[in-house]
Order: sequence, then structure tokens, then C-alpha cells
Amino acid sequence: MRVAFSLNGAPVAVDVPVTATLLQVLREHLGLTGTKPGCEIGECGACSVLVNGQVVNACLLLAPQVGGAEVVTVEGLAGPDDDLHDLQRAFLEFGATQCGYCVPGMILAAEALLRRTLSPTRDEIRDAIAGNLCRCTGYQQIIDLIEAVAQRRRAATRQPIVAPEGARP
Amino acid sequence: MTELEYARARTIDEAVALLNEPGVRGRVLAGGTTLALQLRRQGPTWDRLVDITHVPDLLAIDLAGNWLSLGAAVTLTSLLDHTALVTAVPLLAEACRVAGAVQIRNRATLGGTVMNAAGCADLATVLVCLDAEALLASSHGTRRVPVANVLAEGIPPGELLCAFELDVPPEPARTAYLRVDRRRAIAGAQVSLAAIGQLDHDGRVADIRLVPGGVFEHPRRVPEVEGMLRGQPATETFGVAVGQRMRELFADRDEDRWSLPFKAHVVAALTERVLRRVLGGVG
Repeated sequence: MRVAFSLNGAPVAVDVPVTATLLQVLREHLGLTGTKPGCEIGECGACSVLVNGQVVNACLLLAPQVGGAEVVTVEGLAGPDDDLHDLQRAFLEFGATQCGYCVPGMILAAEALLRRTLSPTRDEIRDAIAGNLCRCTGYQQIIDLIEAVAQRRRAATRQPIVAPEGARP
Repeated sequence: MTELEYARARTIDEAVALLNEPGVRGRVLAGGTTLALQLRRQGPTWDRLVDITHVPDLLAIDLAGNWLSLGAAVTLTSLLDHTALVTAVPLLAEACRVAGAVQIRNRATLGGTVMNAAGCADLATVLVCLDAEALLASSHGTRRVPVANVLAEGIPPGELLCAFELDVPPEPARTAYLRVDRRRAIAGAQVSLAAIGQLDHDGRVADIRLVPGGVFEHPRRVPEVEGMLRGQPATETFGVAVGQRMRELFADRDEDRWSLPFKAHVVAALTERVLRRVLGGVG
């Protein structure tokens, strides 16, 4: 079956069996191996991607289900010059990566959260990554870095305070 | 063997027609979080998947006064994003929040949790507690069936679960959903309990609905226990007695499962806790 969707901002079309998962399509048909296969039963979150802005497990989505949708993988987050994305940089900065296998999924789960709110509580951060297993770090640094990136993005989007016209300083 | 086909329905009528084409074994595809696993384990046992997640009528949330209608393809996330609904029926939101990780909540649908009918499904347990009715469509028209019956009996092939309808519990009623599990985001409930309770002016139990999940084969109300409570004054001790009765009900079952003694104990404890929450100082 022919399935067309938007992948990291560009249109793609693949011919795949109806039973192919989005995970298989990304890795085996399109060569994007940033999305990791882990448990492949929807429990570990290693294959997390964004579909229409929502984080989902690519192993539980059949390819035809994303027909017409906007899919974003970790490859789609880096800047135009292959600059690291702010969440990627923060993973390095906070020492939040050891084996690194969970990181692409963690980044997309975090990105989905930060697209919903730039002021998440720590409980909201924990809930946002509860579907992503990490066996190395103990999660602490990951929660810290997501909080820090949220704070940085808040600061970056804060409008300078402009005094009303005619007001004196 | 013919190749499995995928069809995307745009209306309820189209979905019903796609499911009922003679000689074609159709299967409803909603969020797919369970179906994708079945496909991997068993391979396709159908000829056609009918994707119902693009049918506007099945995605509708309609809250009109005390009446609520929830489309079968509403995801747990879109339910939680509906502020008025979360305020009006906190019991539904409480169950959605614990029903899996955000990756699952973004895909899993209300209809899917009922049709997969795991004995421990959070949303199914809560819908039974709310006395919800399922609206079913087939080529013969539509019918309305209590959710508890859908869980117990299933629905015939070719019929489509379209919506759940229920009366919002009246203002003074209190609700609670508690569950015991391992890692919440990835494991289903081991035992859960949904409750709606209301006291009258004299502090007696005017209304009580209790539905354990993961205890019986399917979530169902327990008239045996609710009857003990109705009309009784809410005293300090009766939560314990009721919990004990719930434990007996469960332990009486003629089953040889290793988890039974554990679950019987948990059911009793959850009953005490839930009654404390919905009937005030009880227990």
C-alpha cells in the first residue's frame, strides 16, 4: 500500500505492507535509524516520535495510520547546519546520557511536553517521560535538564518590557 | 491469501458498510495500541482494517447539562484536554491519568479500552461505575446497551461501537478511582476500584456505586456490597466491614490463581480507602 505523509517537514511516500509499523518504515524503508527499536510492544518508549505534534510509540502505529500526518523524528529536530537541538545539547551538558539508547525517545517525549507548556512542574515532567525507560541514568539528570530547557525557552521568548509611550522611567 | 487491506472511513455509515461487505472479514482499527500487538503475534485474521479515527462523529465530546456523550474514538488525551469535562466528571479524568504513558494516552481510545475488555481496563471500570450506555450502529440501525453488557457479552461482528452516553453524577456525589499496580505508565492495574457515593441530610448513604477492576472477569457493579451500604449511617467502622464483604465475594470464586489471596487483601483495603473518600469520614 502507498502511504504518503510529511516527515521532518518534507513530503515522503512509501510502498509498504499494511502491517508495517511506522518504526519499520522509518528505519528500514527510509533509513532513519535515530528512532530506536526497544521492546516493540509499546512499553519502553525508545521508538517515540511526534505525530501531529503528539508523542507516540512508532512500534504501535501501522504505517497507513500516519497517511497525511506530520511525523517528526529526532533527525528533524537539529538545526539547519546540523546544530544540536537545545534538548540534545542539554543532555550532554547535564550528563544525562550514558548508553544513549533511550535518548532520542526521551528527547521527543520532552519536546512534546515543552510544546504544550514551557512551565511544567516536576510532576508533569515525570509524567511526560514515564513511558520512556532509561536503565542508566536514574532519570534525575533528565528531569533536571528538561526543567532547565523549559526555563531557557521561557527566557528566550520573554518579551522585553517596553514602557508605555509618554511614561517616564 | 489476500493481502490485508486498510480503509479509512469518513462517516459512521461508511464505516458500517466497510465492516459489513459480504465475504470480507472487517475489523475496526481505532488507536491500534492493542491491535498492532495482535498483528505482530498472530498475523492478520481479517481481510480489512477499518480506521475509524477520522470520523468526526466518533471524535465528539458533547456535554449538555447533566448529559454526556463521548465518541468511541475519543483518545484519553483529548478527554483530559477537555477542561469542562474534567471538572464535571473527575472520575473519568482520574482513570485516564493512570491509564498508561502519554504515548499510549495519545492513541488509545475510549472505545478501544472497552472493546479489548481487559478485566482490569481503567476506563471500562469507570464507565461501568458511571452506568454508561454504549451506542451501537449496524446495518440494521442503532441500539443502546449498558457498557457492562458490552463487556460481558461483546458485540456481534459488523456492529460498530459509536459512543458512550451517561448522566453526570449530581453535584453532591463524590467519586474516586484507586488502583494498585507496578510501574503505572507501562503496567495495567492489578486491582482497581471505582466508586460514586452520596450521603443524605442525615448522614446516611443515599447512593453508592462500586466497581472493582481486575477482580472479576469483567468490571461490574457489586449489588451484594452496595446493598449493605444503602440507607446506613456512615459510621467509623463500616468501611472495614464492607471491605471484608468485598474480600469474601472475591475469595469465594472457585479459581486457582496464585494472585487470589493477594488480590483479596488488596480489594478489602481499597474498599476501605475508597469509602473514606466518597462517604467522608467512613472507615
